[in-house]
Amino acid sequence: MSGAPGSAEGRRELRFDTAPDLRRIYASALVAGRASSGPLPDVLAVRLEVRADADTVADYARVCGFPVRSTLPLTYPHVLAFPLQTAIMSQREFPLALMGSLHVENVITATRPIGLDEAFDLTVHAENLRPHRRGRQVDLVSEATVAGETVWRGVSTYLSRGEDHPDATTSEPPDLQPLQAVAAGPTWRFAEDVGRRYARVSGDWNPIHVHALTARPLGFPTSIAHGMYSYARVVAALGPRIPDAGVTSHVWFRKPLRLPSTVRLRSEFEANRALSLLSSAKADVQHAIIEHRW
Amino acid sequence: MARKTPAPPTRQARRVAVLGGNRIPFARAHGAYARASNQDMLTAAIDGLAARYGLSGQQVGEVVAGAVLKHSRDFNLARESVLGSRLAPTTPAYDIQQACGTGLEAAILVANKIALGQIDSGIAGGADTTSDAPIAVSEDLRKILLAANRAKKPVDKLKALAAVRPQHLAPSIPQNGEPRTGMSMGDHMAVTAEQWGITREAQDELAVASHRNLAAAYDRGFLDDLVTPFLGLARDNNLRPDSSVEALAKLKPVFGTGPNATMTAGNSTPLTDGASTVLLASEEWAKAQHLTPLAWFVDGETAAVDYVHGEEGLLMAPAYAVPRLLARNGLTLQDFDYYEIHEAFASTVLTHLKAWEDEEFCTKRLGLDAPLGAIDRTKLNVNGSSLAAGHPFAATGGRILASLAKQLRQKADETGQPVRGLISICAAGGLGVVAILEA
Amino acid sequence: MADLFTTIITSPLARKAGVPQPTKLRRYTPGDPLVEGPVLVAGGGHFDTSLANRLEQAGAQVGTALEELDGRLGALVLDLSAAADPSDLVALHAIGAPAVKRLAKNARVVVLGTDPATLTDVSHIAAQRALEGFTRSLGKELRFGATANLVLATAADPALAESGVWSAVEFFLSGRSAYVDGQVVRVGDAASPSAADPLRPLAGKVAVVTGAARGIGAEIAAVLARDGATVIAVDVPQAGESLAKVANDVRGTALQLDVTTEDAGRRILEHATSRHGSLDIVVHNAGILRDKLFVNMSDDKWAAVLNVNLRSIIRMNETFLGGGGLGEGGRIVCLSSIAGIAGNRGQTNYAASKAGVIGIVEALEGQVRDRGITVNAVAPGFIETEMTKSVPFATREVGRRSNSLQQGGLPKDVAETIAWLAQPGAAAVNGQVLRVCGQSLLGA
Repeated sequence: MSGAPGSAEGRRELRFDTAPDLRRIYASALVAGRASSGPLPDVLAVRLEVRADADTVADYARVCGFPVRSTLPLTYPHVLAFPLQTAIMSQREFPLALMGSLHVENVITATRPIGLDEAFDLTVHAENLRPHRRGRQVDLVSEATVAGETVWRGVSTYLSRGEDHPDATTSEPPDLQPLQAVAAGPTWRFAEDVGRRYARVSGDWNPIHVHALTARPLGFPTSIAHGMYSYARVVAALGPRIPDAGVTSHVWFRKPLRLPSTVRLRSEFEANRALSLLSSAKADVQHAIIEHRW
Repeated sequence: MARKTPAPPTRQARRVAVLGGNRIPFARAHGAYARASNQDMLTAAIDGLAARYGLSGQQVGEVVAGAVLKHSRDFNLARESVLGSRLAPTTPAYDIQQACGTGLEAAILVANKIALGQIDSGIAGGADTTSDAPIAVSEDLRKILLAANRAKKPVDKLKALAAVRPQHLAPSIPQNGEPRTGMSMGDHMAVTAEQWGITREAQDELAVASHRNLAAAYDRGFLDDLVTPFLGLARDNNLRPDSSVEALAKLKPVFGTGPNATMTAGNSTPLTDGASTVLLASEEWAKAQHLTPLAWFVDGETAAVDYVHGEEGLLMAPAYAVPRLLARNGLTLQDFDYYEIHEAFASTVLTHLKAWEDEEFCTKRLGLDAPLGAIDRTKLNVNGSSLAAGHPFAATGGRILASLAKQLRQKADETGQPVRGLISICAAGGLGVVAILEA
Repeated sequence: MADLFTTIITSPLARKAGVPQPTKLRRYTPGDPLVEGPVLVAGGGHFDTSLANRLEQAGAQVGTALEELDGRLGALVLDLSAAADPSDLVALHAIGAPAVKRLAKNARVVVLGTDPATLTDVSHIAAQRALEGFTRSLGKELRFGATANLVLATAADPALAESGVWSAVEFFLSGRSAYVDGQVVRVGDAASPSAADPLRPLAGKVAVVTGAARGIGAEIAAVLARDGATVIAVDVPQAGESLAKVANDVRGTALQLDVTTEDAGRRILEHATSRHGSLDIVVHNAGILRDKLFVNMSDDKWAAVLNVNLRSIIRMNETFLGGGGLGEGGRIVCLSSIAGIAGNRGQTNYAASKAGVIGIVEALEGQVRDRGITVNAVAPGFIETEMTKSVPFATREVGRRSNSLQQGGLPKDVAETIAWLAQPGAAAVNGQVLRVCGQSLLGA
C-alpha cells in the first residue's frame, strides 16, 4: 500500500497491489479510539487489474449456494471491494468508527456479469455522509470497471450509532404487502459456524461474526451472521429467476441474525421485479428485505 | 358405489424424435472443471440446450439424468439442476444410475415415455466429475461418528468420539474398480483383450483415428451446435489432433501384466469431467416447436454378463445386447450406415468387433446360427469417440446420441435415402446398453 | 435500470479528472411518456397540423404558440418544410429562439424540412439546405442533454410522406434517441404503419443479431426482444457460454456459428425459417478490431477485419435478399462506425471495413426499395464497451468527451436506434447512415 500524492483537488489515492489484510485492519481498529468528527476524507482506494481467483470464487459459490460458472456471482465483487472499504474507513480522519459500524443497506448494479478470467479495476470512495435517526451514515461506493465501462457498482451504507437525529430521512424499504400472500419459501438453518465459514471465503474476520466469545466484548450476546452472507444466500436462491445482465439488487438489512438460527425466505415475482424477505423462522424478526429490478 | 376403473389405454407406440443435444466440452480430470460439481456442469449443459432450442422459461415433459460418482449433495441431481436452470421450474425430473450406460439408458427411458404418450418431450442427460469425486470417511470412522450422533448427552458423545484412532482418518476415495472383483476396469479389459488376441498396433490405430476424426469434426464445424463452452473451455481438452501411431507406440502399458500387456494411457480413456443433454420429443411436439427431428429413436436394449468369476469379460455385455436388438428389429449387423461403439478402451471396441466375427462366440455364446460378421470400419466412430473426447461416465451416452443423430440427418439430407445408426456402450458391472437410430 | 447511467457518468475516475459532470440522459423505458413536458409545434410547414394531432393522441400537451404553454418545454418541433426561399427562414429564428430559451433538461428540438435532393429551384434548395447547418449548430449550443435533429421529407407528396415523418419525429422525441444528436434523417414516401401495440412495435417479427454474445450485440438482442421480436442470437462457437445466457435472457435461441463461413447466411436463414417461421430483421453487428498503424499491420490483421466486418455481410445479404429470404417489410441494419466516416489513426483496416458497410447500404437501397425492404446503417461514436478496451486511457477520456453531450454513449443507445429502424413504422427510411454519437466532433 502506498499513499500517492494528492490529485488536483486534493484527493488522496490509496493504491493496493493485493487485497489489504482485513485481520490487521480489524486488529488496529480495535485498539484505535473513536472516530473524528470532521468531514469525509477525500480518499480513493484503488486496485488495478484485479482478477478473481477461480478457486476462491468456487469456495465462495459453494458456501453461498451459487453455481460454479464462468462468471462471478453478483455479490462477489463486494468481497473484493470490502477490504478497500475498510481501508478507507480505518483512516484516522474517517468520521465513523470502523468497529461497531452497521451495514444497513447495500445496492448492487450490474450491467453485465464479470468473467472469471476478466481483469477489472476496483475503486472505492466514501460519499454522502448524512444524519440517520440513530446516528450518522455514509455510503461506500465500490466500482468495477473493465476498460472504462463500469460493469458492477456497489453502494454499501454504514451506520454509526451516536447522537439521534429524529428528523433525518432514511431510505425506506419497499412495501412488503405483496409478500403477505406468499405461503412458502426456503427455510434455512444457519449453523453456529457459518460466520467462520463465510469469513474463510470472504476474508472478513470481523470478530462479531466469528464466535460468541469474540462478539460479546462488542456488545452482541452471540456471534451474528455476516449481512452479505445472508444476502448472498438470497441472491443465489433466486438464481435463474433474475437475469444475469442489467439488474439492480437492493438489500435493506434489518435486525442482526444471531447464530445459530433458522431463517425463512419469502419472495414475490413480477415481470421486472422480485421482492424478498428474509426473516426468522417464525417470521417475527425481519433480517433483510431484498428487491431486484431489471 | 363401485368406482369405475378406466380401461387401460391401447395406444400405438409413437415415434420418438431426437431433436438435438448439447454438452459442455469434456475436460481432463483435475483441470478446467476441477471446482465444478455434477450439478454445475449438468445445469450448464441444460442451459445451453435451452438456449439452442428456445426452451428458456418452458416446461418439458421430464428431465432424466444421472451421475456415476455422486456426492450426498447430489441428492435429486436432475431436479436440482432443473431448478438452477432456465427451464421452467415446473419441469419434473428424476435421477438414474447405470454406470457408463447412464446417459443412453436415460434416453431410452425418456423415449419410452414419449412413445407411450405419457410425456411429449424430455431431456436425457448425465454428468460426471472425477475431479470433484466424493470422498467418504473410512467405514470404522463412519460407525464411530454415527454412534456419537446417536448419543444424547454431550459426555456420551465425547465417549463415543474417544474411540477415534489415527488410522480411521484415512479417507476412502472411490476406486475405479469393480466391487465384486477388486480389479480395475482396465485390468479386467486387459484379460479380455489378451484372450481375444487384440494387438497393440490395432489399438493404437483406433486411438489415432478417434483423435483425427474428432479434430476433423471440430474443424468442419460439426460440433458448433452440439457443444457450448463452459468455464473458459471451448473444446474437449483431451483431444490431440496431431496424435500418431508412432507417438502412441512409445507409451508403456498401464493395464495387464507381462510381455503381452497392450493397454496404454494412449489407447484407454482418461478420467474426465463433463456433462451432456439430449432433447427428445414426439413428432407433434417437435412440429409445434418448429424443430426438425435429427433422427428417430427406434429401439434400445440392455444386456448383462456374469463376469464375476471370469466366465465372460467385464465389458462384453454389448456383444450380447446388439444381436438381441438386431433380431427384434429384423436387421443384420451390416444394415447400418454408422456405428458408434463407445471407446472405453480401444481394445473394447476391437474385441466386440472380433467377437461378432467369431463363429464359436456367435454360435456358442450368443446362440446364433452364424457369426454376425464384419462391419465396414469406415463407418465406425466417424466423428471420434471417447478416446479423443474423454469419457465422463454418465455424459458419454448423451454425447454419442446427439452426435450420431446429427450425422444421420446430414447423411439423409445429402443422399435423400433413409439411414440407420447403431450405438453400443459398455458399462461397469458387466452391463451393456445399445440402441438404434434412423433418419 | 435508471441507476446504470449514473453509474457510468459519475465514475470516480471522471470526477477525479475534474471534468464537468454531464447530464444524465433521458433514456427510453417502455411505458414512458413520449416527451417530458409540453411540446411546441410551429413553423407552418406541411406537417405541423397532423403532427400536433398525433402528438396529442400520444398523450403530449401540445401548443402552437409559446404563450399557450406553461413551464419548460419538453420539445420543440419546427416545421420549415414549406420554406421555399431563404427569407422564409426568418420564422425559424423568430419562433425558435424564445422557445429554445425555455427548453427543459433533456428536451428535444426536431426540425422538419424538405429533402433538397428532391427539389429543383435554387432558392428553394438553398433554404432547405440551410436547415441542416442550422440544426447541426443548434445541437452544439444546446445543453443539459437536449438534442437537435433534422427530418427531411421527400418533396413528391407530403401526404404520402406524413406517416414516415411521424415515425422519425416520434423517434427523435422519445428517450430512444438519447445519444442521437445533430443528425439528419431523410424520409421517403413509403407507407409507414403505426404499431398495433406501441409497447411492442416488433411483435411477431423474427430478428437475427450477429455478434450477440456480449457488448452492443447483447444489448441489441435485449432491446429487440423487449420490443416484441423473437431473437436469434448468433456468435462464434467460442463465445457460446455467454451467447447461451443472452439467448435465455431474451427467451430466444442461440445459434453458434462463424459469420465468415461460406454457408453462414444459409444456416441463419434455415434456422430462422424452420424454427421461427420467417426472417424479418437482420442486424449485422458482428465485428472485430485489429488495430495497428498501417505500415506495421500484418496481412492477417488486415484481412481478418475486412473479412469479418465487410465480406461476410455482403455474402450473407445475398442469401437474405435471395429467394426465400427477407420478404415485404424486411429490415437489414448494419453496424458501421464513426471511424468509417471520419477515419481513425491505427484503424485503417477497421475504418475501411466500416466505410465499406456504408457502401453496402447505399448500393442496396435502390435494389430493395420496391420490395418493401429497407437497408440502413448505424454508426456508433464513442460507446462504453469492451471493444474500447484497446483504446489508451487518455484517448478514451477525450473520445468520451468530444461530443455535444459531453459523455460516452451506451450500447443501449445504439440498440434503440437499430430497434427503431427495424420497426414497420420506419419503412420510409432507407439507405441511410444514422450516427449514434452524441454529435461527435469527429467527422462532423
